[in-house]
Amino acid sequence: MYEGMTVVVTGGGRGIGLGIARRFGQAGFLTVIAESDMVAGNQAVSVLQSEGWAAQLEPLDVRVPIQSANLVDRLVRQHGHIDVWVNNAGISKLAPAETMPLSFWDDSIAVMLAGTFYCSQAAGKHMLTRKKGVIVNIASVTGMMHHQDRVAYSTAKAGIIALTEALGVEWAARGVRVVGVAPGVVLTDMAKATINEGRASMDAFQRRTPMQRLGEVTEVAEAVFYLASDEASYITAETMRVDGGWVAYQLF
Amino acid sequence: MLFNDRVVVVTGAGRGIGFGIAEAFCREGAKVVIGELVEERGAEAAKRLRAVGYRAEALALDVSKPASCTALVERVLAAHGRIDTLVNNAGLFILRKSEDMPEADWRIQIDVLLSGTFFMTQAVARDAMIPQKQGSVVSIASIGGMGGWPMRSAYNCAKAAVINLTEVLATEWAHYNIRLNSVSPGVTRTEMMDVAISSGIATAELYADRTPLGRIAEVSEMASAVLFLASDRASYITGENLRVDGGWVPWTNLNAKGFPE
Repeated sequence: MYEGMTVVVTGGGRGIGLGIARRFGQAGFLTVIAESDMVAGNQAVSVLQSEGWAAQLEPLDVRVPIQSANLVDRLVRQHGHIDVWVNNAGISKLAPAETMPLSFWDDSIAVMLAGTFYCSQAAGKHMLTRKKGVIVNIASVTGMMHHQDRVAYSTAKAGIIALTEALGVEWAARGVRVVGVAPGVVLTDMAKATINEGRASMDAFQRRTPMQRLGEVTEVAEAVFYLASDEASYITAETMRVDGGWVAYQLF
Repeated sequence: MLFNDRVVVVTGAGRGIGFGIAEAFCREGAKVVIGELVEERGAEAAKRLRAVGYRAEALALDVSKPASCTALVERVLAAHGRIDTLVNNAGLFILRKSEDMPEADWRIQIDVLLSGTFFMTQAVARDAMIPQKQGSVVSIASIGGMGGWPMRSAYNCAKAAVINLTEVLATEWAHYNIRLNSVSPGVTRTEMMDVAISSGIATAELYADRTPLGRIAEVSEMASAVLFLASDRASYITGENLRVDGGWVPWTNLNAKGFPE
């Protein structure tokens, strides 16, 4: 059903991004892992190929607009079109706001907010010429609710939610849907690092979640795949929470 | 099939979005129970589904009466032993200037849309899903529940409350392994919309122009969102209100003509 279709996943080398790439691969997409970390990217592509999915690695630093523009051109020449673009690349730079090194702020905004826009602009320009395409942005519940040390991450993620609405509205009539997924806490290397640094505990995450467990990468990937599919043809400019009830829960 | 042999109850499924939802669950292998206030309409809908080989039946239901909800649940449990999914879809809509809103028009909209959603969900959870320690509920909210629309005070308040009720129950019953979500449709091609158009309060073009996507929605697009959230594909999604609105809510329409009174 999806043979001949192409998806690009930024930051697809590990964690949620790799899970998303796998889900599209399983459906028959050619999956392009766009990574700044070539080691992780190479490994991800090998894993996906060994599972039987079509995957290729492309170097991409989302902070540099010309790189995403060139990547789109290259992929369009190679495959004819890009059907889905997933803006997943992210970094977690945590520190108290009053003493946060400004590089944490700059890097977070550059990778997650500006990077998402640069990539969306490049991919969107191509999709608008076809009057067809879906951009899926990975936001976060921390773009909706906030806790300590995450001023840069939260602000960037909140910006992604606004960007999803703005682009979704602007491109809706021209065939390009822009949607988002806001995961709760998912047990990835990023979450493990937060726990290992002592900034949060597994127990605290579980207690704060009505479903009393962390999310699985596959659960986020399924939501991304659903929103990217034609099943969601009337959904645009919307960010869907995949959070086990995290944001709905306002008592504690 | 996503819902093979699952027991699914859809309220107000005699027509419109509810019927589309019932049909979509049937297509995925479910046994569908249509709860309808207008019994002949429910029976007719179930007959149409059975005629194409689906498993569907209709039962009388007035969601605004707790005893009616409890009675339906009892009959479904007697016949099928469980309820896997509930879709709260039953609704009505009365357009009234708020200063002239008769008490009866206010109350019936709150009774059906809000209280009915609570009574039905309570009955299904209490008698089926909590004992089963498993279930999913999807309630039909509305983009009207996410903002102000003139002459829709009761409808919009009730829909806003459905969104919040979904959040409350999702947090309260998550530990029973029950997920609850809502879907907020944009303007959808149904009999309810035809009524609004034929009564002259709006035109199809007006609604399409107001939507970034440039068209109104089809019933099937609502049904697919409901099925996704109800299914195991959405196993970590609870307490969410999914807008299926073609970009309606976040759009500032600078060419707004205003809705005719």
